[in-house]
Amino acid sequence: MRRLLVLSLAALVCGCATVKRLDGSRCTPPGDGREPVSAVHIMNTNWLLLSLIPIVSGDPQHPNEDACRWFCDTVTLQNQMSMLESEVRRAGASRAENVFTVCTSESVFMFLLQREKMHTSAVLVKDVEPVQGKANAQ
Amino acid sequence: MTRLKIAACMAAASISLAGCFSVEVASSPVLGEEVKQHVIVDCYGWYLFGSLPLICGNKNVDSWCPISLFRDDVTPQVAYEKVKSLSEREGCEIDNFHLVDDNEVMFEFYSIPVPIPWIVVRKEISLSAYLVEKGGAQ
Repeated sequence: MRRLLVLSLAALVCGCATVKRLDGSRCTPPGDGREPVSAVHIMNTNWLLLSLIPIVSGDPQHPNEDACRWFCDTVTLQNQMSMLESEVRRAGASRAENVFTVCTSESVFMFLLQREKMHTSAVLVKDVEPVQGKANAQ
Repeated sequence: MTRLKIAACMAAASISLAGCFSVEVASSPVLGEEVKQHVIVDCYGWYLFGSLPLICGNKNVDSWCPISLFRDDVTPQVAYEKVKSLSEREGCEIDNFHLVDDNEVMFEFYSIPVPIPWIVVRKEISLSAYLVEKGGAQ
């Protein structure tokens, strides 16, 4: 019983979704008419029993909070995109560039418990009026 | 000894049911107009002495058996072929290509690492890419 409790607590703490924001002003400008706003790293994790049955996952609708979803698997690419869309809106950006997603996993007690992690990184950019266009307009 | 047998049975059952090869596709407006889909391919498996394949995900994801025995499917070429076939099916080009090839050389048995590395190695490959409209590559 104690072991179960410890495992449950560990899963509760570790199965969470996070969004980390970095200053993106030093990122390479992506091209004409766009400027970097920020760089983001989005991670979501879950715990699976026997690599199959989801125990607990991060809540993609409440990242960076002590929120989790029990008995459902939220570690999907579509959820990563949803979190990215929210972050684009929050940052006032227009789109995300250089989006890179990687999926990793680790096992505890062989296959008894598996932890899946999905990482997405991106540079958020916003549209700006081209300088050339401004000069022509003037 | 009984516990060991139970653990082995559970491991075999979970591997045979769960599989270790996955292809996920998602789309989002924040990726840009020209990006049709974001795709990730993830595959992992176990290798004896780091080179002899024991068990890994089956690259034929539609197959009845989600695993392949003694066949090396955890290679960049296999992951790339999967994305390539998807791009051909969708009539798209591949862009923003990232590949992570990771090895865990300390095999763990019940959370106790086998003290000699490279006996059983867990390899994992994760490929991330965009499928873009033809002529729309950034």
